[in-house]
Amino acid sequence: MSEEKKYPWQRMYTVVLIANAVYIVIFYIITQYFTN
Amino acid sequence: MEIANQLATLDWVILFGTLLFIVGYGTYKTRKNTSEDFLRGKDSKWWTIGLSVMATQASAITFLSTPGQAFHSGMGFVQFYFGLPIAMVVICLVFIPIYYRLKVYTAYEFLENRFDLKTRSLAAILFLIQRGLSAGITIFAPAIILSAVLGWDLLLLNILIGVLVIIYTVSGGTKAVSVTQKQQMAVIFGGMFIAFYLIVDQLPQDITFTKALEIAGASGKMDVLDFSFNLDNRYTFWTGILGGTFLMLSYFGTDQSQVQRYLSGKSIRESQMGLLFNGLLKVPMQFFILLVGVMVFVFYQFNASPLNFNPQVNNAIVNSEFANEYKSLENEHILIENTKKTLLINGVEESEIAQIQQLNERDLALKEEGRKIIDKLNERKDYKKIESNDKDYVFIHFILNNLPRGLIGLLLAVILSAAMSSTASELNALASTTTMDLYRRNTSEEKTEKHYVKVSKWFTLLWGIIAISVACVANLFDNLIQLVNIIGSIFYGNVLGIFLLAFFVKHVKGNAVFIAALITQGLIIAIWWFDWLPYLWLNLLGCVLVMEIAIIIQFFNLKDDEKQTT
Repeated sequence: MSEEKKYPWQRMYTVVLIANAVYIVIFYIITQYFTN
Repeated sequence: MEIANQLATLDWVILFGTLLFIVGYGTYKTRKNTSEDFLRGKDSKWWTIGLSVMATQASAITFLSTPGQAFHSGMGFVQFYFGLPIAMVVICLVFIPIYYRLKVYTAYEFLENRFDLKTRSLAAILFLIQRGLSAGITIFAPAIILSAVLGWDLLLLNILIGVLVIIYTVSGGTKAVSVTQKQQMAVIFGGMFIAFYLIVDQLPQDITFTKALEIAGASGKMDVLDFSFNLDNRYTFWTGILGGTFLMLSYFGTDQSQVQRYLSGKSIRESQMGLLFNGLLKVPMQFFILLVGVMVFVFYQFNASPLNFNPQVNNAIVNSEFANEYKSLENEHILIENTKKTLLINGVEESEIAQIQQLNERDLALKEEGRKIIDKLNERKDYKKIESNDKDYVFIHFILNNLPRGLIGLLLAVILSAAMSSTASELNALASTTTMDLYRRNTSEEKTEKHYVKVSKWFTLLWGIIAISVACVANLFDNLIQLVNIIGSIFYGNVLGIFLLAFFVKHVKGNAVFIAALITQGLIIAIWWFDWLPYLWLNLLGCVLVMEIAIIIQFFNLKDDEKQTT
């Protein structure tokens, strides 16, 4: 438990996860645009 | 086969200049290494760690095979990496702080701290078996392709890659691996960007980048996401998110070849940032490599391509009784290519899409029929077996036949750099695990750091020789690459399960885990032996089994302890 307090959730974790969610949204748009 | 002779002097100069520069640079930069630099490399910045982690994962086969994957099956393979960023965050949050607190050299040291020596040794040995074999395959896989395409001697190529890696890994250890991986990634990215630019540049004048994407889309290559629950389809959004997270967690969290990379950080923050850098860039990087493959596909809509990209196929078929049958398939393939070329010369019209799809389907069927002929040839004992799946040969065929002189040398340097960077990490990790987890822990008296550096250098050399030997005998076995993947699947799940127990199930103790790991390993080997389950699922099963069995054993152990105390 002490480690969890010492190394808490960092803003960069959120940035990485949101960035990857954005990639997936872009991939979704690409798929929709080019699917016949 | 003639292509090797056609390599210009400029190609040779760039190829060997790049490789020798990297080896020389790595050796020179680490000539004043301290013991700490060699064994752990404690001063890496986050971008060095990030590039090092990426270079370790991306082997030569990534750059040969991934564009070919996109050429045949489109962009869907990128979904395989969707779990990676999640795994990176979990490792930053849980694994790294604990590794740092215990100041470990290897991931397995933590297991002794949490459980006992025998569990640590078991996990280390499982790692050594699996990684020792795959280090050989990391050398062999690109060597077999380059030797087939360029006519280079396979044995010589295996030895060349192995020896170049041994030189700087033995002399500079962990720090040399990190330092050279920066240069290797620069070569890899530089080469791939130039290749991408030239592919697009060589498309017909009226075909803009957007039109090229539309052509790819009409041919079904731009379907990036697949939300279906079809188990037959290996790459879907769900397998990427669920299976991918699980796989990446075990690879980055418990495989010493990766753990050693991020433990070389200057501080815990640098290590975390290095992994997050990987989490941020990995998916776009894979997307880009796949896009290169898609552009190669568009390029071959306007340029002649062989029915099968493996050059050995043509050589073998021409002299067989299947020559006429194969020739008629090739003729129809050329006819389809010419029809498509006329249709696509001004881009894709809405009215033409159905016809393009029909032509693509027929072309695919022809390729499949071609493969069946090769398989028939493979069944005959008087013929040397040939790889009928040509996806590993598509990109190298494009490079050798369509890139200008000099750039061919650079792209060959990209492929060999990727092979060297992965092999270096593997040898480095194998040596440190052998030194720290087996040698140091099992010798009676504690020696100086200098002594362990010396021992580690000898183990690096030994593992290098083993890797080269595995690479040299690999072509004697039909399915060695698959065999190595199977061996990985047999051990990986068990090791991840042990680590997950260590991190998250606090009441389970060493004896329970050790017995559970032995039972699980026996069961997994039996399941594989009797072929009860496709081997990829053994990863998941191994992990779940070891955790459940350990929890059950611990439950009964506790009951016994309670009885004894009352």
